[in-house]
Amino acid sequence: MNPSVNDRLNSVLRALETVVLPALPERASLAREQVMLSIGHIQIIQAQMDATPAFEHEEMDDIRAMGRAILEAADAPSACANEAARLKEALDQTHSTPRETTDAIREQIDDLLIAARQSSEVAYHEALSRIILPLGRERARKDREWFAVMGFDIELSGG
Amino acid sequence: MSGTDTEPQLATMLEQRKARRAMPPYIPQRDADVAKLLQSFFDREKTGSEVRDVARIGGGASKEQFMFTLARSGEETRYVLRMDALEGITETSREREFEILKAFHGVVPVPEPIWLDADAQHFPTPAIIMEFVDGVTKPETEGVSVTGLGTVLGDPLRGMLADQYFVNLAAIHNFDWANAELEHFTAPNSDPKQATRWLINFWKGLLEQDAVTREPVLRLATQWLEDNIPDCDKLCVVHGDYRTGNYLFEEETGKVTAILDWEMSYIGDFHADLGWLLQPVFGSRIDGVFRASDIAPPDEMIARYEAASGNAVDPAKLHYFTVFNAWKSYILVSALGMRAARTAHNHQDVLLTFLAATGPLFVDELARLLMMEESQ
Repeated sequence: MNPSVNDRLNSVLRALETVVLPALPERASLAREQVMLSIGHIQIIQAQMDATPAFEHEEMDDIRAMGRAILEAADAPSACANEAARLKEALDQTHSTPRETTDAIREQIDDLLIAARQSSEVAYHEALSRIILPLGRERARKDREWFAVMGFDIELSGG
Repeated sequence: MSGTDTEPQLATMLEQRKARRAMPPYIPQRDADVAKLLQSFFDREKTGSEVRDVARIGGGASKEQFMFTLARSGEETRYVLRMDALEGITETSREREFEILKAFHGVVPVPEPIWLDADAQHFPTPAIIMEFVDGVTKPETEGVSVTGLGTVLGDPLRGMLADQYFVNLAAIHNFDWANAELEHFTAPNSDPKQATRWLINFWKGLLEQDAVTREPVLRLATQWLEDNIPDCDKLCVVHGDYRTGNYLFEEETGKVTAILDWEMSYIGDFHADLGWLLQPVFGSRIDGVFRASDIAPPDEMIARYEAASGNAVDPAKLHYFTVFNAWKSYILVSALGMRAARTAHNHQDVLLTFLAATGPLFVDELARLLMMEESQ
């Protein structure tokens, strides 16, 4: 039987917790902190591991939905036509990983925002903003839920 | 004014940091190596001294810090060495930090800075040495938290610290900086918006250099901040990171012994400090009550600050700096911190990637604040 990723991470955790950390002197504060953070990271990665592919796909789907909503909401003025065309291309492309696709679409939306502002296309910029902010917020809420397990979110972590 | 109008010293820092980007991974300093560096430093600076008990200080996400004892002529004094890594969650100057600590020594509790190696003539990176001050940043009951976020002071400490919290912040904002020796700070005095324009341009410069992904909500926030800069009616020293977790106190008496982390200070609008310390990420929520810095709810914080300082808080300006601080926080954790981790240029990469998970909090907050603007 091949060892699963979870089995392997569990063995790393056990080594860090029962061998490495106790062997570090109290005064080795940075080393102790780094080991404790590493343990925390690995535990959270384990908790998220199975759901990670679906999470990253959803992230890609959400940015695609934002990009499509932008193109459907308003015709780009001529000063922004090139950026809008590049966004359309990016929406049709699939990169080797969902994250690469997500980043590529984000980049084109960002370029469109820059072009809209530089060309003083106020109405178009406002139209972009009306789409991006609620969808961006919805996405950020999902990301917060995802990272709530890390404990800094006093609203979602129960702090 | 152009988008490159930035405080001259900060503009230089933005340029200089580009050269560090291509450098090989940063190897954290080892206690024994630091002890040798310190000994050779004091052989020159204070002959007849012996460096002892060098030990790293934990915590923090930007600088390497070591505590040590200097023995000379039968006397022992404890100091702290604070050194840059190649990159970190902030981009700051040891020269400015040294100067501002000197300026505030005797005004509010701060560790006295003693030696400066601004250009890394002796230490591998720029460094300062300051006096060691006793105290804690959180009660012992708080347990081990290496992120420094969400400190709960609880009762009775909260009440013991609250007055000092506001008196010290008022003293910082009412400090006569114009007559202080602050050579490495420039006063923004060409127009009433210059102070905040400098600030925005500096942080935007950092974002452009370090962003690991482009986030549309951040772009909208950047554009909103550029388009809505308020006038600054009173230039003052802004601490830049004033909150619980960044001051030392005696746990038994509740006496504040030192205000720390002045590295992001500058001359600007005091509302910036208020927007920072009111952020949810630095506060606590207990039994449904949010307390900024675990001191008091936001309205009480503002009222007590006004009473202590005599500075009237303008709600519109506070709103502007609330947006600014969510934006700045994202840049710290999701741009500078992540870039430093990816380039392996810090001694705490594992902490930086942990802290980067706070990024969505700030995106959510920015989107919420900007939607409020749109609906008005």
